[in-house]
Amino acid sequence: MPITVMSRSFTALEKAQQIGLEVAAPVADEVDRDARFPSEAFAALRSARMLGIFIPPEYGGGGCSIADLSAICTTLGQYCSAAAMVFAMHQIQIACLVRHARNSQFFAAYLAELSDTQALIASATSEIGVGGDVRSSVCAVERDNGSFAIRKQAPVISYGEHADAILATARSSPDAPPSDQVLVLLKRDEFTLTRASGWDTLGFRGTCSPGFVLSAIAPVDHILPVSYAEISSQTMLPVSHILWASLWVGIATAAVGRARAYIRAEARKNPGKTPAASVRLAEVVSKLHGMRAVVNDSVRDYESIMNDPDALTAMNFAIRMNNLKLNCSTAVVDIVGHSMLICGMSGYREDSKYSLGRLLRDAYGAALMINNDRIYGANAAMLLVSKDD
Amino acid sequence: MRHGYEALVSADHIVRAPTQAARSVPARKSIQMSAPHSIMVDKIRDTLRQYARLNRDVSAISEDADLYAFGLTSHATVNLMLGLEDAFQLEFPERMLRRRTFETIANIRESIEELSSDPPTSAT
Repeated sequence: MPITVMSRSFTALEKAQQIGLEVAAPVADEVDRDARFPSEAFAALRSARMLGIFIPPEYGGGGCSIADLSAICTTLGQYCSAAAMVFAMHQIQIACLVRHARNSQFFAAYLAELSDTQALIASATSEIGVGGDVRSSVCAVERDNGSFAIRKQAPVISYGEHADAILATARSSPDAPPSDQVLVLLKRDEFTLTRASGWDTLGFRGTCSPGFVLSAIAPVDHILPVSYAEISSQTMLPVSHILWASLWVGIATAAVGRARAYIRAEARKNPGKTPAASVRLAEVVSKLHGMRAVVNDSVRDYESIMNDPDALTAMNFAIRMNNLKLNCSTAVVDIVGHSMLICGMSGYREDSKYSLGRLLRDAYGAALMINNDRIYGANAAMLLVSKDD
Repeated sequence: MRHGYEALVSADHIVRAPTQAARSVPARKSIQMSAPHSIMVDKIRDTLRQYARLNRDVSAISEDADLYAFGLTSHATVNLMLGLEDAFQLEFPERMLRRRTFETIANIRESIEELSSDPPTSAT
């Protein structure tokens, strides 16, 4: 996979590998234990200009592809799930701006600014009162002359306190129905966050995702020029599912790596005798390869139609992207669990180099971020009319 | 790798184009073969009233108005499709299961006309 956008002799993937191994991994346990932001990794990603890597070169960015982003997320995911998730969520926001806002004068200039400052962008799409449906909003954009106001009760805003800007959804006006949404950019000096809850979770603790009341006043040109319905189906949803699944592959790869190292150490202890769990290793590696294939297939699927807006709104495409999420979020738990069986007590211990506790806790989050039951429900509804297998 | 983003940036325009085309193109042959225009539109409006859960009186919505702006959701679209399939005794093929097919009354009418003019064996 050639990515030649990076400075020096590094490709982006090699750089991500180096940052993951040398910067993110040494503090990953601490980031998890203290539920603190992976600031070292983000300082390194910033200085490597990787936060703007998806921005097209004409705006000063790296111009990489979705396949490149996917590979980078997998790489980072092997070292620190939280850093990988924050990186993925930031790139999802960038993808929305790159793909849907460039014909606005303000956003064209903002993309160049992002390349320059390597600013980190968070997302406020969920809201209290919509029952987890991100395609519905309670809050609305209230326009007044050249500016608008918004006030949103967000049950989570990942890394909100560490972000330079937030992209938030809201109804397009106070009279608009819940599904008529726009996406708005709020810069650091335009919004205030009032903490409404904590973030003491089983996993992904370093994403620092408490609930907030988000209040902002910003100029009207910060409203993205197309409806959120378009942004959601063409970019936000597919890119989220692809990049999340990519970093879950990273978590699964890390777990299998520990299982492999454990089996190897066992084999060395008793040369000539194949360790009993080596068959399980073969089994879990086949599961990992299957998971990776699902992600790669989805990346190809998306890239083949990503510039065909009509095809991106097709029901069978939505079903396939939902299935990517369903398959990979369950596969990651399965693979880390299998790795635990292979490593035995050494994997169960928190103080061993084969320890899998953090990876297992992180893996369980995958099925919950956009709950799988909601996605199964959506697919079940669409399958009442869709016939395409 | 470079992408042709321009196509996407103007997605709004692309999505709406068929509606405008439908207005400027004279009625197709199939219309004469199927139900008269106004009866068909009345039937579509009835189905919308039953299943689309719009935030406005369906009789007041023009044939070219964006139904999604009146609160049509993807979930309601599924029920609307089922309702239309029942009301018109047809089945929407996979290629029509896209956002723009159900974006306006005119688009729905066009799709139904197209399906009504197909030979009956093409339902699968």
